[in-house]
Amino acid sequence: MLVNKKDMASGLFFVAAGLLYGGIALSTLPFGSALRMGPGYFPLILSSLMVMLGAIISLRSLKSGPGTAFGVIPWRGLLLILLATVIFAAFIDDLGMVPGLLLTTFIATLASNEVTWQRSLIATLFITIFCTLVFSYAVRLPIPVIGPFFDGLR
Amino acid sequence: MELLSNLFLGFGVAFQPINLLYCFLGVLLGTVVGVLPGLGPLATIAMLLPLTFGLDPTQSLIMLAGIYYGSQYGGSTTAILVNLPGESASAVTTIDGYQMARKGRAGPALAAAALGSFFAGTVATILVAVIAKPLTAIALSFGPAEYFSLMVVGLISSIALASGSLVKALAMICLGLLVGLTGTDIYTGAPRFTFGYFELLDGIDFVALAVGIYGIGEIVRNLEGSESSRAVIAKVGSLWPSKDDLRRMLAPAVRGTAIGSILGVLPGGGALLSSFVAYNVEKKASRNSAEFGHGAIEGVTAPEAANNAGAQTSFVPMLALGIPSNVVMALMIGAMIMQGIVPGPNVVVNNPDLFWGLIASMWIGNAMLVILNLPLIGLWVSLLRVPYWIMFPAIIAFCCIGVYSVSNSAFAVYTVTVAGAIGYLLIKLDCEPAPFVLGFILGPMLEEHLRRAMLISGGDVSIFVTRPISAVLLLVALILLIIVSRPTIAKRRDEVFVDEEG
Repeated sequence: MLVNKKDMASGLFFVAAGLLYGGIALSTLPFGSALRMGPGYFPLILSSLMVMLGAIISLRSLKSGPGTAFGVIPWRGLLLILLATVIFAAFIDDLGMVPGLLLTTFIATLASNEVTWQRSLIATLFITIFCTLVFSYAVRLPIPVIGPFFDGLR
Repeated sequence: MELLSNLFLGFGVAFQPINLLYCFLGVLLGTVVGVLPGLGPLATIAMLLPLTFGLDPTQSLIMLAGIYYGSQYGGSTTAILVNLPGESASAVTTIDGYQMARKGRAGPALAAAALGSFFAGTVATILVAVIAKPLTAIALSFGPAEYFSLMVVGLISSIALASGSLVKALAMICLGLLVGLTGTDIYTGAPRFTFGYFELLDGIDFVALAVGIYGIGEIVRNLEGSESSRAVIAKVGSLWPSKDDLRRMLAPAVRGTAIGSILGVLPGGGALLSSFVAYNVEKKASRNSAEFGHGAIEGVTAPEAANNAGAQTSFVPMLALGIPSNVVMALMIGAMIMQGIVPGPNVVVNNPDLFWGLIASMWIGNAMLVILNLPLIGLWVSLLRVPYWIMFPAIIAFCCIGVYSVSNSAFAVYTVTVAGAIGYLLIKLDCEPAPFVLGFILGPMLEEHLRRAMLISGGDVSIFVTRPISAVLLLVALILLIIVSRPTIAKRRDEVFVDEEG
């Protein structure tokens, strides 16, 4: 059977998301009436609609042919880039601008397929210096250059 | 002549040296980031938003507007010189622009883009000044039913922009609306869809969402290909177009401006749709249609004029109605709210200097773009030579800092992570993000107006069809839905978007 995998996956995604949101709306949010709509009214309409649309997409995918190729997923790049943002979020308050950026950018540089040690080092240093100059000194964002984590070390 | 006195007020504001400076800075920075392939106006504005925090509302909006058309314009430069659209609205420019560049006519192509844009910008600025005020007057008579229907039109027309399946686009709208409802319910105070995170009580940060989908998603997509293959940059010779070129540019510039101006005002329209339509119309209307695809200067001028005109007239619904016609305007509304200004018909009454100053600065910004771009083209070319391995970590750093500093919240940066992952997945599944993002912005507004309309009508749904303006708007939405779902149109839509890849 020729199934359009992309359509099948996205259809199921919408059904699942619709069920999740609809379930939350049904179980925790009062529905109200058409006159005085409760917080659950509009979400329930939307999630029902989304489940329906998702079902249509999945059903159609059964006979629409294999469709276009999914293509490669650059797993390494994807995960490292997401990790870089997580690291930034986790450490910026404690570490401050310079150490936070050194970490974040270094991880981000590794996401490239063509990374070498020299490139990674150059990019990390350059970007950290550049961003610190621009955002800490020129725009004066209230992120400390060196964070409170290092206070004890001074 | 109220219009003249208003424009006079506007230019008075815009020509203040400090405002000129911020307009210039905006245009310059916008161009710098816009030149980088893959970063569209939305990601650019989101990234540079923190730069405007310390400014007063007028200055910050002038600067943001400058960033917007700067990045738009920078995208065209990339499109012509490296055959990569710097942003989606300049995707069609790559078709003929890069062909011209390959024939050694990169200079005239760049000039055509600049002059076409400037012409369009001038006309569109006047148009915005003329129609924004009357539209504001109409808007003041809008009730919740009209607003609701207007937003429905906006959502439906955003489908026209999405490539691929109509049903998917509709599902993406629903998902966007639902995710947009995250936070405290304004009527009952009940927390909705916060999954236990108290940070989500105020809703999901839009800047973070936009950066995740358009910034992170775009970078990961670029990592799919081989990076060094992008390095071919066309040489720029003489910039000046010949007399023949100038003659051939005139009609396309006018047609492109007209198309862009109209499509820009429509909800869901804006720069992207404008440039696609203008290119296709020009291909049919031009006497040189055989040359299209092989470096026709008309094929550069028309879409460039159209996308610039569309970019500017899309400010009209934002300024007059407080409703974003596209995702960039949604971000501008967010920026206005952060500055303590509630977008809507009252802006022109309460902040006339901001309103007219912004309109006047649009024209000044366009003039600056021409001055900035033609002589400084060498600088942009060298910017294109910055290797990707240094570029994308820098973009990630900018994105993180930008999102963090919107509300000094690390949680917002986690939002980027999640939005980036889900956004990338959906793009991989051929689900266009634009309807989702527009739904996200309109979700709370749509619900609020729906609830109010039902309160007024006593729970009677027919209010939406018995009020004439609302009925007309819903009819427009229905017709739009029928048009985009017609198989022939759907096919043509695909073709247009396939051209983009080619």
